[in-house]
Amino acid sequence: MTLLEKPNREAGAATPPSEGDPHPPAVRVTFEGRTLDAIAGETIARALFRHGIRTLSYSVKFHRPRSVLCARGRCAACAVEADGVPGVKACTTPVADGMAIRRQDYRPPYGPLLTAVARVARFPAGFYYRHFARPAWVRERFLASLRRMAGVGRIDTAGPPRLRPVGPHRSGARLDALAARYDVAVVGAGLAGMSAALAAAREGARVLLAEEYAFPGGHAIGALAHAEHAQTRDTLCAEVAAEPSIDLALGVTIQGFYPPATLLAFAGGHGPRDPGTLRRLTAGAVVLATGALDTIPLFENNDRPGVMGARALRLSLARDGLPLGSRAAIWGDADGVTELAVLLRAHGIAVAACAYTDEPGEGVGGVPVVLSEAQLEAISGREWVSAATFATRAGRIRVACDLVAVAAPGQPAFELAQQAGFAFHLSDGPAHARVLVPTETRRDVAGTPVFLAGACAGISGSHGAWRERIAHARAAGEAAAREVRVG
Amino acid sequence: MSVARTAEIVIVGGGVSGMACAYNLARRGMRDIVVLEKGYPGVGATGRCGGGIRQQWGLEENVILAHESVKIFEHLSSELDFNIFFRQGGYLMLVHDEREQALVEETIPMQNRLGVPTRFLAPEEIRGRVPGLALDGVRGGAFCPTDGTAYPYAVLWGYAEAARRLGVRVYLHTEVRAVSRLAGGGFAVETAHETFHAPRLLNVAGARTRDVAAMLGVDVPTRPFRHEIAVTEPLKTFLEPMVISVRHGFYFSQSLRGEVVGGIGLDGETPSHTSASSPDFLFKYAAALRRFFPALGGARIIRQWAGSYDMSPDHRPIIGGVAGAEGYFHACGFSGHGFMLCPIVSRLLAELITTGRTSLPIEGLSLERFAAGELAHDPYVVG
Amino acid sequence: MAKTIVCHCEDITLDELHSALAQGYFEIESLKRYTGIATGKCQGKCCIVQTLRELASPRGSAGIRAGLAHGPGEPLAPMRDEDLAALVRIPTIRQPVTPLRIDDIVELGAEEE
Repeated sequence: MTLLEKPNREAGAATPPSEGDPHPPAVRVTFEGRTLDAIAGETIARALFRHGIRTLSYSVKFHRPRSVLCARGRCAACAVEADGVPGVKACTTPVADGMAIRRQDYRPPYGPLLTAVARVARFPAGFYYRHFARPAWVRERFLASLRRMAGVGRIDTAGPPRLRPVGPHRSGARLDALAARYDVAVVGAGLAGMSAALAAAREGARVLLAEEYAFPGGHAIGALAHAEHAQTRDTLCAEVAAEPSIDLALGVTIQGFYPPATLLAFAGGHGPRDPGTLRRLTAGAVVLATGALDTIPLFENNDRPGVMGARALRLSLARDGLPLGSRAAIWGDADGVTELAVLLRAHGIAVAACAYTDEPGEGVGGVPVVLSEAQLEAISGREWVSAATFATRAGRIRVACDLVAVAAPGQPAFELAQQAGFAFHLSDGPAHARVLVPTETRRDVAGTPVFLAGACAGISGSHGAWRERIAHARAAGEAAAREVRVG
Repeated sequence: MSVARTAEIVIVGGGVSGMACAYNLARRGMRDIVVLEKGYPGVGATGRCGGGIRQQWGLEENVILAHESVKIFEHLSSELDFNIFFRQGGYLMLVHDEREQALVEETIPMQNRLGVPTRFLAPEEIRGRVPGLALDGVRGGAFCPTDGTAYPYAVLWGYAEAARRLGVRVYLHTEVRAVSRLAGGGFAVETAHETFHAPRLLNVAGARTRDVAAMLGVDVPTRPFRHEIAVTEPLKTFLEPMVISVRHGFYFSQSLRGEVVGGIGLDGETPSHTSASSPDFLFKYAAALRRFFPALGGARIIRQWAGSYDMSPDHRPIIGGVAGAEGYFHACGFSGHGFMLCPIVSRLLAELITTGRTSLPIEGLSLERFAAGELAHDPYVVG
Repeated sequence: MAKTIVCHCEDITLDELHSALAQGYFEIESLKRYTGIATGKCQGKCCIVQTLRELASPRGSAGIRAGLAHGPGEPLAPMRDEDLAALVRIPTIRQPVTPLRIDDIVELGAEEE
C-alpha cells in the first residue's frame, strides 16, 4: 500500500516531471528584489538556473562560488534564504507563489580587499588557535570580530512569538497513516530496499518501507544503460505498490535510530511553508538500505560548480529537469562512464570526452575525446566549470566542457548504520575509489536484528553489482522477517 | 614484559584535568611527568561538556574556588599562547518563585563579599539584556557579568601542548589495566605495552576515577550519570549570557560560532557510563528551549550527544590525597563542573603534590568527609 | 597555486589538512575540530571519506609520524601500520541525520503526551 498515492507537489519534495501535473501553473517569485517567472512545483534551483542564476552561495573563507552539488539536501552548498528562513535547500525545495528568495553567504566575508587576499592566500591549520592569543587587547578584538562574522540565520528576538499553523499538516497526514510498530522497518526504497521489503512481506511480516525521496527507485531513476536494469526497477516499484503488507511511506526521512528499536520518522519540512512532522515508531527488525552518496575526489578546484557525481546528476536531470549544461566530460570506470553517457544524452547533453580511469571496455560511441588511465587533475572556470584537465600517460589533456560528470564509487550512507553501532573501514584500491565500508552487514542491537542492504552495505563494484545487491537484500529481508516471527 | 619505565608521577586521565595538572606540575619544576589517556584527547567529559564557567554558587567554598578559576581563565590564552575562546558574557540564573528569590537574596551578598559581582535583575532589566527571553513565571534573575564560557577542546589542547613543551610525556590510546603498590613505596601502573613505576600517582580519570581508585583498594563514592546535550546550527549572535533555570534543570548559551548549546536533565536516569542519545531528551530540550525562547522555534538542532557527570554524594568535588595511601592523589566527583574548576584545581593539586600545602584550603573536599558525615549541599547544581 | 578543497562547508583545503597532521592533530576527532572539517552544515557527509583517504595515503602517514612530537599527545607504542590503520575511522556521528526544526520536535513531543 502506498501512503502517498501521488506525490503531492505542493506539500512534498521535488518530484519527477513525469509524475506531476502535466500543465503546472506558472507562479512568480522574487529573487533579491527581482521578479522571476517560475513553474509551480519546480525546485528553487531550477527556477534560478532557468533565469541564468547558477552561483547560489559563496564559501565561508575563500569566497569560492558554490551551486547545486549533491541534489538531495545533504551538502548545503545550495542553501538560500527563502521567505526569511535561512538554510533552505534550493535543490529540493519547490517554489511557491510569491516566495522571496535571497542568497545567504553571498557577500565577501572580510570586505572586498581582505577577501581578495584570502582567495589566494594559504591558510595554516589551527589559525584561530595560534594567532592573536596575546596580548589581551588584540585577542579581545579578534574574538569579537569572529563572533560578528559567525552564524547565518538571524533570530528575531523582538518579534511576536511565532505561531505554527494549527491543524493537520499536509505532510503530517502522511505520517498519521503509519503504525506505531512494524515487524520489519526498511529504510530506503531503492532496488535493494524494495527487494528486502518484498521478501520480508512474503514471509508474513508487516513492513514499513520509508523513502526520503517522493518516489521509489532511489538512484536508479532516469535513463539506464541496460534495459534489464530499468525493467527490474519498474517491476519492483509496481510490486511494492501492490503489496498490501508494505506501507510505502514516500517523502519520509528516518532521522534517527535510537537503539534498541526506536526510529524517528520525519516528513515535510521542505522550505519555509511546509512545517515538518515527526513520528516515533518501533520495529522488530530493521533493514538499512540507505544507499550511497557521490564522492568527488580531491584535485585542483574540485569544488567548482559544474562538477557533479552520478547520483546528483540523475536527480538533477531526471527528477528536476535542471538545465545543467550542454557539453560534458565524463570521468570514471567503464561501467560508470557508460551509465552517465546514456543519462546525459537522454537529456540532450553532448558528451565531449570520456576519461576512463581504467580501459574503455565497450566504450561509448561518437565521443570526440576518449582517454584511458586518466586522472582528473584540475578544473578551470571562474563561476562554473569551463574545462577539465586530465592526466594520462600521453600527458595532460585539457577538454573544454561546461559539465564534469564524475562516476566515482559511492560512499555508503553511514549515518544510521553508525547509530546502530556498525563499524566502517576504508576499502582498498586506488585513492579515488576507496570508500568506507561496513565491517559486517548485520548486527544485533540489544535484541533488535539490524541488517545493511544495498549500496550502503558496501556491495559495489562493476555494473552487475545491482543484481548482487538485490539478491543480498532479499536474503536480508527474509532473515529479518523470520527472526521477528521466531524471536 | 620489559623493564618498567620510571617517572616522577603518573597521571591517569588525559582530559582537561590531567593535562592541566601536568602543565602546572611541570611549571613548578617537576620532571619526568607521564600522562596516560585511554582514548583520544577529549573522549571523556572534556569533549562533551557545554563549556560553561560560573562563580554563582551557594556555598562560600565553592564560590571562592570558582572565582579563582575565573581569574586564571581570564589570562589563560596569554599564559598558554593558545586561544581558548573564553568569553565573559555572564550567567543569568532565573528565579521562578519565592524560595528561589530568598535563596538568591542570601547568596548574592555572599558572592559580592568574595569579589564576585553578581546582582539581581528585575524582569525589565532581563528584557533589556536578553531580548527574546520569555519571562512568564520568572520573577527575576541573578546575573554575574564575569561568568562565561570557553571552548573545551581549545583549553585541553592549550594545556596539553604547553605541558609537552615543558617535557611532559602524554600517551594516547593507553589504558591503565592495573595499579598496585610497590614494595618499597610508590606505584606500578600497568598498560598494554609498558609498566610505569613512579613514587606518585594522580588519578584524574573523570567518571572512571572510581574504577582506578578501586585498583588500589580506595573506595571513591562517585557514580556516573548520563547528561545529554544538543546544538543548533550557527546563528547570528543574539544571546550574550548563558541562561540557566535550576528549577527546570535547563541551560543554554550561544557559542562563538553562533551555535546554541544546551541541555536539560531527564528524570529517571540511573548510574551508567552510557553516552547514547535519546529521543526523549530531544523533545524535552526542544520544548524547554522554545518555551523560554520562542524565537528559536525556527532554528534547527543539528546534533545531540551525551557524556557523564561524575556525581559525588554532596555534588562537590573530591580533591586531595587519601589517608594511608602515600603518594596517591585524586580529583573527581566534579558533578558536572570539572571543566570550569580545572584551572584552579590543577594549580592546587600541583601545589599539594610538590609542597604538601595549598594556597587555598581544600580539606573540606577530602575523601574523608563522607565518613565523617560532614556534608554540605550546594543548591546551585544544574542538570 | 589553485586550491583543492577537502571540506566544502567550512572551506578547508588539502594543505590545511596536512598542516594539521604536521602539528600533531592526527586523531580524527581532534583533527576535525582543529581544522573545522566535518563540523559545518553537512556534518561531514561529503568530506569524511576524502579526509580518511588522505590519512591513509603515504603522504598522510608520513605527516602523522612527523607530527607525533607536536600536538596534544602521541601513542605510547611506536606507530605500527595497524595503529595508523586504526586512526582511519569515522568520527562519531549522532542523531539527527539532517537538522530538525525545534518547532517540529516540540509538536511531536506534545502529541505524544
